[in-house]
Amino acid sequence: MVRYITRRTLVMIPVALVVSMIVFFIIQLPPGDFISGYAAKMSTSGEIMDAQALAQLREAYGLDQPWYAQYFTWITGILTEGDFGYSLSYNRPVADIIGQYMGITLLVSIFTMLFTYIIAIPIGVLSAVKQYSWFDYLSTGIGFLGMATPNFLFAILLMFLSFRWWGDPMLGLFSPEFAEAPWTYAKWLDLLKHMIIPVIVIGTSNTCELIRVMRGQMLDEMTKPHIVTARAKGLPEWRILVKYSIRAAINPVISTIGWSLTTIFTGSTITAIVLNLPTQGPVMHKALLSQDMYLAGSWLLLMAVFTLLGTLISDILLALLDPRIRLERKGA
Amino acid sequence: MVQPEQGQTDVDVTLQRQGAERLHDRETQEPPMLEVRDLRVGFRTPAGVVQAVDGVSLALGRGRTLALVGESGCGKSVTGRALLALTPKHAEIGGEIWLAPTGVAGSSGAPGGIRGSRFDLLRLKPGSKELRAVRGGIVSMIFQEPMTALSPLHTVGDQIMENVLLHRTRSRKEAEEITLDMMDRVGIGNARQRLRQYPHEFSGGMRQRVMIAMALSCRPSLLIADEPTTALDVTIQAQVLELMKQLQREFGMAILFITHDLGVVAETADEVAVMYLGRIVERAPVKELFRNPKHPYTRGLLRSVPRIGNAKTRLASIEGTVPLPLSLPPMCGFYDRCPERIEGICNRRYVPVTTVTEGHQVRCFLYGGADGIGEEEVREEGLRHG
Amino acid sequence: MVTQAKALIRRFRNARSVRAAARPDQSASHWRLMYRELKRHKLARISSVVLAMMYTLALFAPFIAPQGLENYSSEYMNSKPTVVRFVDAEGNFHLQPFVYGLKSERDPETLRKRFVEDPSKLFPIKLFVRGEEYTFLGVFQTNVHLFGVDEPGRIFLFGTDGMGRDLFSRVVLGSQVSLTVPLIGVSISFVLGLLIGGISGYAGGRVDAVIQRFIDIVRSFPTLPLWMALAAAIPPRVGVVEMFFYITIIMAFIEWTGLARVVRSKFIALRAEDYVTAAKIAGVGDLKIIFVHLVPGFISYLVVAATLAIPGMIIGETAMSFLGLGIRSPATSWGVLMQEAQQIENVALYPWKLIPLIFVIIVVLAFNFFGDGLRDAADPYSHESGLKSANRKEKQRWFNRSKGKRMSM
Repeated sequence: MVRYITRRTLVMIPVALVVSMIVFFIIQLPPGDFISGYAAKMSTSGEIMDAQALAQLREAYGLDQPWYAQYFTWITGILTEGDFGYSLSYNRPVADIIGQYMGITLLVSIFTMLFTYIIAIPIGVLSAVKQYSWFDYLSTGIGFLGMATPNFLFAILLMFLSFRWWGDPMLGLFSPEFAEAPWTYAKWLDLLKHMIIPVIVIGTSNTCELIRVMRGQMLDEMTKPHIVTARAKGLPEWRILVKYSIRAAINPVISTIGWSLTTIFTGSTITAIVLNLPTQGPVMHKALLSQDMYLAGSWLLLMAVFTLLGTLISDILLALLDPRIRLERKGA
Repeated sequence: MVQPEQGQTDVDVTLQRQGAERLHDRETQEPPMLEVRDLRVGFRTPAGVVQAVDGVSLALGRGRTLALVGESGCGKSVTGRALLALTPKHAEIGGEIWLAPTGVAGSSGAPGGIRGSRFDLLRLKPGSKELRAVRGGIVSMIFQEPMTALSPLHTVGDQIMENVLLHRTRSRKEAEEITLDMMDRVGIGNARQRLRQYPHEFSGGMRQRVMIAMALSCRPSLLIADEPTTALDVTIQAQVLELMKQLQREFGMAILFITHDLGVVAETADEVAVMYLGRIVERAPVKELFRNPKHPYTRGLLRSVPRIGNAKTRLASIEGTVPLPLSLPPMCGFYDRCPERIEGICNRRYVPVTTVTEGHQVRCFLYGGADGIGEEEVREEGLRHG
Repeated sequence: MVTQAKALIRRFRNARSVRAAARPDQSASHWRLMYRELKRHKLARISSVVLAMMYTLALFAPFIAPQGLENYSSEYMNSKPTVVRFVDAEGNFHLQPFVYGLKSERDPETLRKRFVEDPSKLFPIKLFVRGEEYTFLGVFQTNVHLFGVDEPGRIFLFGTDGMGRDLFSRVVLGSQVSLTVPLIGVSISFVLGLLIGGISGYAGGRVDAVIQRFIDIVRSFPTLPLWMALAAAIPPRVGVVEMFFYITIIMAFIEWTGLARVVRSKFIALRAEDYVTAAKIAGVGDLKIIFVHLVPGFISYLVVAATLAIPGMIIGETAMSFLGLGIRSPATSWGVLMQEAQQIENVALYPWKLIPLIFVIIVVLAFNFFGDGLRDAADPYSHESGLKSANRKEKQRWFNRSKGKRMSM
């Protein structure tokens, strides 16, 4: 197992490097750069910058060099000293900004994931056990609806309802009076309250999908021959359900935890923009639009690395849960 | 669930029961360990009820082996599972399954005082304590596919021990001892280590041994073996059969052997019942059946078995396939495929059971039952409408 | 036991279908069987009708929409949907439906402008009225629209937006983009997937390894941020047609990897089949083997995979346009129409601006159900989850893949 993990981790490194290069390439694709965008913005406020000043600025930030040279500087910085570059729009090191938003992004993601699993697994199991009952039809119906509604549009809907009922669309994660306040009990409470809509919004389509998968897995497992064996032993139905059906059905679901955490993390982008959450979504959106390439590039790279890590975690979990795969890996 | 038009007449049942009782009169004075009367299992499908088992009656004495033979789809597996009330929810089940287990050593765990008394399995409530005590404790089962019949996610030891803990003892330590002993008996070497392994670490034959250990761990009175050797290769087959015979001698349980392999039948059974389209068409002691098969279907079956020394003759096959038992008309189920069918008789009415010699019964007009056809028809009509 | 019963039922079904489809032509009967199975799937049947209606709507959009894309009436900003009536204020029944005129007034409380019906003015709805010029089906110029009312009457079935544009017309016209981008995107990824997956699966060895690593890399990108990055890379002042083209390419760029995997695994499975070996020994050329022997063996699975990829693309296009990274005015799509709903006040005061959302949901649902039906039809033994026939690993992969796709919005 240790060897397997080591090997997988080693394979990840070149992939991450290639990914980082592609990321950088894509980000510098749009014509112009941060400086030209900056100059255009300044000119709207009446300040015309001459060509020489612009050239000086470019040189200072290294933007006059070809993209691969810029990439090289950037990636060596990351690898040697963990320096992700400098954000031009925030005027701060990228690492600072990432540090500021990472915590809250992770918090929202983890809450969402917990919500997803806690809701989806019991509903999936129940609708499989009571197949073709009204409960099954209801959860299937809601499941399909939830999968078909794009999250960000669902966000609008919930905000609308919240606005209608409580006169507060619950934008952001903090009420204004708490935004800058130190962490107190009241602030946590406020945060939790504001977390409800984002968690539901980001989690719903996920939950619906999981319900479908869990139900399908259960139906599959419940008709396996070894269930008949267990019944022939005289095991009570509920114990067959818990010990054999659920235990087996839950494997692939649990093992995707690594995966789903990263997809929630990266997938909440648009929702975060719509709900104006102080998480990575709006930051990256802004960085992309203003061609703040080091910031955007670092986020994209981090997400890609997260995706890789998530896949690895999932594979490891799967091996831990399923003795057959464990054996296969031992052999490999 | 009694469907009078399905054709099993009281006469049949009585005849078969007489046969069964005679069998037991010869050996012991008690009632047979297993007695099935007019068992019917139907499956509701969109196209109607498929009558998979259509009035089967059987009897099986302690320590004896009955082979239930037939093509796939003839209802033999369904019969086997019905004996554990393991039919799915959408199945309609009718008839009676009488079990008369005796107290066997080491069965103190069985609750409800079921051992020692005689009861009808189908009268036990689904999911009840009593039914669960029967399953695995009094009647246990071996399945065809040892691969899929074991859970891949649980250790072999856990799966055998589960049975022991359910029926024999509450102490894990004792259960483990019993499990180790059983694994030893079925020939799994190095049991203490194998206990902690998973089914995929066992070969096919070893897995079937695990199944046997599991099924016999609680000393059942009846073992239902549903094609236990079909999925194994020939040398392993012989080993497993030998093991089962040996364990039968040791434990004295009755075996219902479900198979389509006549070679296996010859090797293991005391008695044979040939099943076709949900009904038993012929029943005889094993030697009698092989020496003197009566029913055209049985003969067809025997002809389709290759024999050493007969290499030159072409292997016979039975024409056609088993029809689907869906709203069958009152006629012999084998009529379409039968080389000796009598038009006007075989396709006119249900076939009653005829006794050929003692213990040998056949359901075919060639051996009687057709003589008084007019007279019987009147009687049957009367029965059906009455 | 359950399997026993199922086997019985299956035997029965097969017996029926064999009788019905006793035709020697194998591949034709496969599609035929698939069609028959599909017809049996009730939701898929309903969905196909819904989709047919939607695409008809898109095809005849300029004719059905009473107004053009650029029409606006500044005096009717944020007007609520017009009610189509049959009975007038006096209780008289009109066989020809009509709408009332609109007059604006100020809400005494909020002092906001709002529109109320004016029962004194009555405009019957007419068929085939003349209005904005457009090119019908790209062939001839005309100005006839399906329905409308005479000036100065106005008909806004879904209300108007902040610029006084008829939302119904815009939804109808926007469907042209929203419904074609995913179709073209899927077609491109279909071809790419078939080609690259095919090469990978058929060639094997080093070529396969390189392609697989490349696919791994593309897949390790978080879908949505990658879309955003690529969309941000589109030059800001490109024309409508080019923009459409770019968006489609971006969609296809990410989607093809999934299809390529399906193709590859099927290729590898089929390559080992005896009939392919036989063809090879007989000296049949590679290309012929691929297109005559291999592709027909799995094309139905690919069609299913492609259909199930469409909903993701619809949501993707909507998302990008919604963020202002996709289709830009003067062109429109459902995502563009949702932009105004970004401000919560807008939605709270003018809830009809959520109507485009309903269309997105209906189409996505319809494609999902239709795809489910197709999958069941292509693989009749996978009724419950569509997963049964696949082995464990495939199942896992499917699971990951679909999660990655659907969760990303």
